[in-house]
Amino acid sequence: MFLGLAIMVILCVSLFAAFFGTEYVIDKSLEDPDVLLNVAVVGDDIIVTIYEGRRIDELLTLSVEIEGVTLPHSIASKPAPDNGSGEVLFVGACAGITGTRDVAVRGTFSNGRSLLLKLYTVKFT
Amino acid sequence: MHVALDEFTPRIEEDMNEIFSLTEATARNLSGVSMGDSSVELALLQLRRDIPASYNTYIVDTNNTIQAITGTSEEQKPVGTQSCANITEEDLKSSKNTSIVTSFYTFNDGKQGIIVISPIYSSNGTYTGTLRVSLDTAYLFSGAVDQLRSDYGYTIWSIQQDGCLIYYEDTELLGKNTLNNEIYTEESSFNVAQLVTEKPEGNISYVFYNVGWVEKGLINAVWDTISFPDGTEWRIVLTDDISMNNIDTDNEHSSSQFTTSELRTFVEKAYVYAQTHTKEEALKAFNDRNGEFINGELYIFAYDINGTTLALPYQTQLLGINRLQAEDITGVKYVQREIARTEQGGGYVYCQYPNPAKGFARELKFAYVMPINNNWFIGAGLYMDNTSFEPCGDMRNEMISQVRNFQYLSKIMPEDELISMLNDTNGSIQVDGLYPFASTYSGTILSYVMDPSVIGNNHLGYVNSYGMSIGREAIPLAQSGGGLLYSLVWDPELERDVYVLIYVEPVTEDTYYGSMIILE
Repeated sequence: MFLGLAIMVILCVSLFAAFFGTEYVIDKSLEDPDVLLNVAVVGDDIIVTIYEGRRIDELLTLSVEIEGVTLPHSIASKPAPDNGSGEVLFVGACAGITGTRDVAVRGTFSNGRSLLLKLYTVKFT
Repeated sequence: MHVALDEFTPRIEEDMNEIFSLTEATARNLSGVSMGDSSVELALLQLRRDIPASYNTYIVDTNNTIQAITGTSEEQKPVGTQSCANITEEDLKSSKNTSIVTSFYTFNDGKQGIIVISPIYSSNGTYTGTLRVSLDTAYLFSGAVDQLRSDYGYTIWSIQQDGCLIYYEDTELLGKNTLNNEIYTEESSFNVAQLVTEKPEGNISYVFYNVGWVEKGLINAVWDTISFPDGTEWRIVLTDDISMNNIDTDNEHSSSQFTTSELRTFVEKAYVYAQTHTKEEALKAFNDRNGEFINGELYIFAYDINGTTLALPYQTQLLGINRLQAEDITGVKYVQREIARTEQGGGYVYCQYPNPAKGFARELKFAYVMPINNNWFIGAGLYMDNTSFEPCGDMRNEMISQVRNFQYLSKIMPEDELISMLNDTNGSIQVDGLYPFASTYSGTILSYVMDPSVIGNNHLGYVNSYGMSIGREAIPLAQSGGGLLYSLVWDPELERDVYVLIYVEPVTEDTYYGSMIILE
């Protein structure tokens, strides 16, 4: 049942890509990001800046995950900006963290679903 | 111009003679010493400390294999490999057994420069190999050029007899041959190079790009020659292409019309564009001089994470060129600093860069950079109003020697004793105008002469008014072998942030040491 559904999805995507061209598919995904953001280290803090995206109004919370580190929920999870775009500050999220690690930013939307919004390899030191 | 040249040339000559003298003296001291002897490492560290323009000091045997080199375990990796310059006993004999200065090389780690080589003999007089000092010619010249700019408003380029460029302010051109490289194929510049290589001294006027590569102009030049004991000659060419007479003080752009906050907004707009278009579309837009990503003095530049230029609308001749080793007038590798900043998600960076509105004088440029992904990044910069610094080449050299001295001392005394010496603000190890410090790689401050009250704190979380963390910037720089960076740090006496030039070096496997000069 699941396999059949997966094959159907693959076939649909292939047909769509063949019809519109793969570049169209890539370009459409670029033009309509769910949430466009950047993640930066500033001292002991991590700042996530949300710029735009078709789903920024549905975004309820943001959370950061740092490879090899378990952050308390109070530090790792913050409400999304009221008006959709803006900065979200994760105070002390990278205190004492050194080396090179992957940083993931996840968003939880109003429909209750969570999505990986950004994965970036950060050189903390 | 001749007066300025007559003042400049002896300074480089003296600096090189000092390097020959130090190298030869160390080579004599190493005669008959086994490579396993601890005195070898100390001798190499002392020599590197005494020659701030050196990248490294090392010993090569008669088979051209590197036997010993200074540095951390990572930097020791070339031991056992072949040296890039195969100099034989015959080469040294033909130069009357004095030091040799080589042609220009790109070393295995991507750095570029020349090598001074002196022979080493065993106690019975048998030739056993050579002592070598790899030199950064940009460092070698830049202190004196900085002074020349300040005193006269002139600059310098220098070539070897074969036409190879060993000094020019745009350091990415170093190593290019002025007689056959495509950049110099225009008749005017080719003729100049040919004339300068043929004649030991002279003067000429020619049309070429001015410093900054934005436009061409008439350049007047006078040149002279420095000769070394091995017969090598360097032509030293003094030019007026940064003449202070060119400065348009009434130019509406002579002071920045933008704030740093507007700079950031400009880069963020480009970031959104790059994230919502293909890379090709984005780079096309950033390189378009009539496009939306040019606004007065602001324009978007882009590099890949290895330092190759992807967008530079006013210097399109540099597209595709790798600028990873490009240095500013002080020796700060600014593209490397920008890459380091983007690897932390982006932010502000400083460098000194030619300002077209000020006759291409080097001024502090404030850049804001952002990664598009882990493969490439963008940025833009603006010149800080009224922020130009006095020449600091000599002080910079003292700072480098001081830090390298800590490296040497760490080999002959326990580290806690060395830290105590650093923390003694009245001790003999201190130099007026320099503020040394030491830290672990996890960020704990062991010494900080500018503000001893912070000793013992972790400085990874310390940020200046532009969100820059010196610790997070300095640690990877030290781990990669050391170097220079600019920053703003809190001065407890002045009770405000001050611009500083910082030099750091790895000293042990767990610690790095550094020092800083206040630039204002």
